[in-house]
Amino acid sequence: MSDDALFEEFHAELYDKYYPQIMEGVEAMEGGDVKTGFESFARPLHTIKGVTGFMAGFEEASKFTHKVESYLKKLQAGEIEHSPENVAAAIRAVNMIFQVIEQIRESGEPDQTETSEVLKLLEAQSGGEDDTGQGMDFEVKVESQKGVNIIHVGAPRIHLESQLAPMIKALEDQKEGSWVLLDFTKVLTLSSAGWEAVESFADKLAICAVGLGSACKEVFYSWGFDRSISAFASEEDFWNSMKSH
Amino acid sequence: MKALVVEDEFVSRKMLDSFLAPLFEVDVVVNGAEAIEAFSRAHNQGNSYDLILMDIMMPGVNGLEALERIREIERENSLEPVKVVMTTALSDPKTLIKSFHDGEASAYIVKPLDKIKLMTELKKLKLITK
Repeated sequence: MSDDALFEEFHAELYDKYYPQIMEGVEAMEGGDVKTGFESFARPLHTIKGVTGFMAGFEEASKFTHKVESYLKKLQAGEIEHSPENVAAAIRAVNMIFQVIEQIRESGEPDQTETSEVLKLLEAQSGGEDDTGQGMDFEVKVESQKGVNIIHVGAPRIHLESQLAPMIKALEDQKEGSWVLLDFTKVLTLSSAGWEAVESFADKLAICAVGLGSACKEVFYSWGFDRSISAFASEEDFWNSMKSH
Repeated sequence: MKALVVEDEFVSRKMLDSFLAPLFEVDVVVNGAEAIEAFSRAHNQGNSYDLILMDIMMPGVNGLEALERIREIERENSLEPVKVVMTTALSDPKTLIKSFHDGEASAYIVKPLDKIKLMTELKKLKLITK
């Protein structure tokens, strides 16, 4: 395809379709609704990243958008606090995407000083982590307290078999009939397949869970895993309930 | 890691299978309807795909329609989106933009296929390191 034809089509979509969607997201974020803001941003930003990556000369716009998208994903997942400063940095970076595209269109390259400044700001606000958001101190730690084995799960996202394996191994190591408390405090998302794998141990272990974040909770309750796994709001609640056993 | 190749044309199918086989456990289907079925079955068995290579022009349900249905299933079940690389002879702007916007494709490769093009995209998607 000719680059001119692609650019023309993309440019028309950019301002007719994506810009209004993104501005809706900006308004929602300015109003403190990060979730709605992210939902409005997600698809147009993904498209901008993908299509500019395909257009000769616009690769820098694609890379920049990728970094902004990574920051927004961390913000949406709660890995970055929803403070006014962090939200303002997100809005500034999103607006900058349009500027980068126009600068490349006009002069062949973005204003490096300005883009570096925004990227440094994002890095500083996100604590200088890499853009994978997969930082993890440990995979699984097991400790025993008052006859209960507590399995602390360290992976922020559990979707792939390799991410699930350490927790499953820890469950396999438990003696039949024992009480197990899964601590998901550090887990942001756990797939339904992951919950199913945990549930498969429920016929031989008494499984409880604590520290469920909003995304974990959504899958947990919507799929009905609360029928076989008991969830507690805090460890204290769990120990209080144990007193009655 | 598991990959699903969705391709109606025999030579492309064999080529993609041979490129991926050293790195992935590869399943192959020949149209969009089978792709949706394979995706759902793998998810229900708790053995989801890490990668889907999706042709667009196929008889029956085409690749874009199949991808949109897969994304709907992911949203309905709160699943992490699978990485999908479109592998197609179509190079018009509308199809490219539609793939990223409506299908949330992860990457787009215009045929003819070759190993370097594919591996470059898999590296960008962090599915391979070398």
